[in-house]
Amino acid sequence: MNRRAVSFVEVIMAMGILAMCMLPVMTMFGSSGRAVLKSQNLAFAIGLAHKISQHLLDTPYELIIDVPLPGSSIADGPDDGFFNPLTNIESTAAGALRITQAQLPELWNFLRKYEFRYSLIVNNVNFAAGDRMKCVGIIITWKEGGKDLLYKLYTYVPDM
Amino acid sequence: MYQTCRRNGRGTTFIELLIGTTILALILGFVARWFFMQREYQKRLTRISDIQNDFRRSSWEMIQELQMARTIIWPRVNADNSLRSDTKLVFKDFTGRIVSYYHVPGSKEVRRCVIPNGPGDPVVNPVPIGRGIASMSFTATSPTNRVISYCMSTDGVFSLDAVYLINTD
Repeated sequence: MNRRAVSFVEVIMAMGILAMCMLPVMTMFGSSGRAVLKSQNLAFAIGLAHKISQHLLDTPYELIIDVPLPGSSIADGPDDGFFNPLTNIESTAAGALRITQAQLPELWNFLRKYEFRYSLIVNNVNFAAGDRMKCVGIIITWKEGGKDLLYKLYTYVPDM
Repeated sequence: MYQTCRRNGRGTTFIELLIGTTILALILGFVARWFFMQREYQKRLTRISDIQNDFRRSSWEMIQELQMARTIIWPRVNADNSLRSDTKLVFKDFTGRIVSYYHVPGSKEVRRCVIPNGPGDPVVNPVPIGRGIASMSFTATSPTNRVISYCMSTDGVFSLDAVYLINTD
């Protein structure tokens, strides 16, 4: 019988073939993970946009103005009434907490990791009877895996 | 004679066997490590998905009732017009009942109860309106006290949202 032992090169080749077969499985795990993270960030962005829309309904009409792209950062952002300051368990303004690394580190890390920002595009709409309203486009942007992602929500604020 | 065991007239040496075993152990080690890392990662992803679902569910329940509420009783903005937060929210609902949402950190739940407008104990809903929520705060943000902002978080997953009260008292 002409049978010989398995050589080292053959073993390496077999391992290579096995690794190539494993590659799609490994990719599948990775892509499912990205899908969940994308869903997480999208759900978060929807919440942010809804939060802004609710605040706009209570904002004095003349103070609703454009926040042009690339927008305002939510972490380390200015005192805008939407996100900063965020909480305050004290009875004076001195206890107000902002989304900064020092005051709310966990939330700050999350927002900075994906670079969440918001923009407002304000269009004035005037009616014949003198009534007017603002059509506000709320744009939430963030970065994920090197890509720029965006969520847009329109809300209408009447002058009442 | 089978040449798989005996090549060039000799068998497998101990060194060859040792090298083969080491290579196999290394490969198995890498595969096992990758497998367990993936398993943990998948568990984490499932957890994130569950948390998101909990957030969505509790947000939906609260927003539906809150946006139709008449007035916020607690928390209200401070005397210096700065915002005020608490883990409980008390408001008068559309029908005039006094309702409270409150966070229970021990069981990671948000519960709802109706406070009687007179003597008697609060009536707590048997089913919590939010589950799996590690921390939660309600914040009154504007001097009109018509916007309630809330923040939920669990295991590094966050939800920020707000509700504007359509009705007035």
